[in-house]
Amino acid sequence: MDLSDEELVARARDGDRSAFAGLVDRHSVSVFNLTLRIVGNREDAEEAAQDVFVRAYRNLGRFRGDARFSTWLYRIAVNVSLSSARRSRRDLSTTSLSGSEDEDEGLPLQLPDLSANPAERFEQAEFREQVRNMVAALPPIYSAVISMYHMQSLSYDEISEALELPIGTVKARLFRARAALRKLIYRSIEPDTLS
Amino acid sequence: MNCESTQRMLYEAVDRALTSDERRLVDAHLSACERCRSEVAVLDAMIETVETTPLSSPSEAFLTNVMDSLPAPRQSLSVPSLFIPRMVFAATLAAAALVWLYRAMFVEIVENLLPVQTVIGPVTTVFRDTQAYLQSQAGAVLARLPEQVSNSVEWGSMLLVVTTLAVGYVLVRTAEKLDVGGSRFEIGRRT
Repeated sequence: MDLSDEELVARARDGDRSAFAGLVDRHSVSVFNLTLRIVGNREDAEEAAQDVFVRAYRNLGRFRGDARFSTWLYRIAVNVSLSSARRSRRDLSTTSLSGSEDEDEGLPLQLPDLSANPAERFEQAEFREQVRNMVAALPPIYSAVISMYHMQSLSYDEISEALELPIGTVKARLFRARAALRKLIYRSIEPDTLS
Repeated sequence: MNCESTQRMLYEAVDRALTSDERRLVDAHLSACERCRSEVAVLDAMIETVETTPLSSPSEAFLTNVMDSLPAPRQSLSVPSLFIPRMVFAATLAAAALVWLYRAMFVEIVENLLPVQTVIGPVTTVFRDTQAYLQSQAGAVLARLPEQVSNSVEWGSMLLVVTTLAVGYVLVRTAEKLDVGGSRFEIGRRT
């Protein structure tokens, strides 16, 4: 019978390394995909994911069980990934986790006037892959919220806990993230339509 | 309703159900605006594409790498790891108690060892001075207590025992924190 995360955490706290290995095995894919979307490349993402679990192990004593273990892991993963992204190439102009919700209001969507129907491009597998890669090209905090909400199906509550942000701010970040992704998509279709 | 308001509402509709009034306004605009209809198709395709992203797996060596990177089991995590520091603590306390209980005999024995008197002499002097100092400090504390309380217990001895316990406790906690006896110190980040 599979043990719950909480039971594995309790055993790992008592020094049972195989219990912790069970936690790593169970959550490695989700943590890796989150770090991958924020960091942007497999090598750095895997290193970041490894760091996430090492930090989690060191801090097991601080995990109180108020949130789910996975949410706690995501919180560590976001912090580690943002630090990793900060050290690398990423544009950090919008990596602040806090920040006023007001700054997300009133932003024009800047509609392009396209001659072709861009939706048709999504019928090509290659273009869809490009779009998926664009998520990692977004500012890291946008990559994080899109990854958690759309790829890993976390709820607003869970994202709010993982990012330690109010739910309203999470929704605003998601709105902005989708708009930014859409902008990248249009730019890839007709580079001259958006400045 | 213009295009931008419509599209903002379309993006909001990903997160929440539009009210019937909002839905009616959006539908009215979409029926007359090809560009916004195209935008709806793009938005739907974009969300669908992102949500159907296959999950990537880390390398096969990931689990092994993580487990190899974990710090050695902390001394505080297991009972056997606490055995040695606790025994050292207990032995230190026992030795301190014995020295204190038989302090007079201890000084007398040392003083009678004439051949080593010249060497040990300064040690016993320091011992006596320290004892006198501690007793004077204890006396200062006792003087502040009600007389019936201060006379009921041998407070000087108790203070020393408490001090010894506190020092021992701090030493053991420090040793545990530094992971003394383990394979590495825990201070700072792993490199």
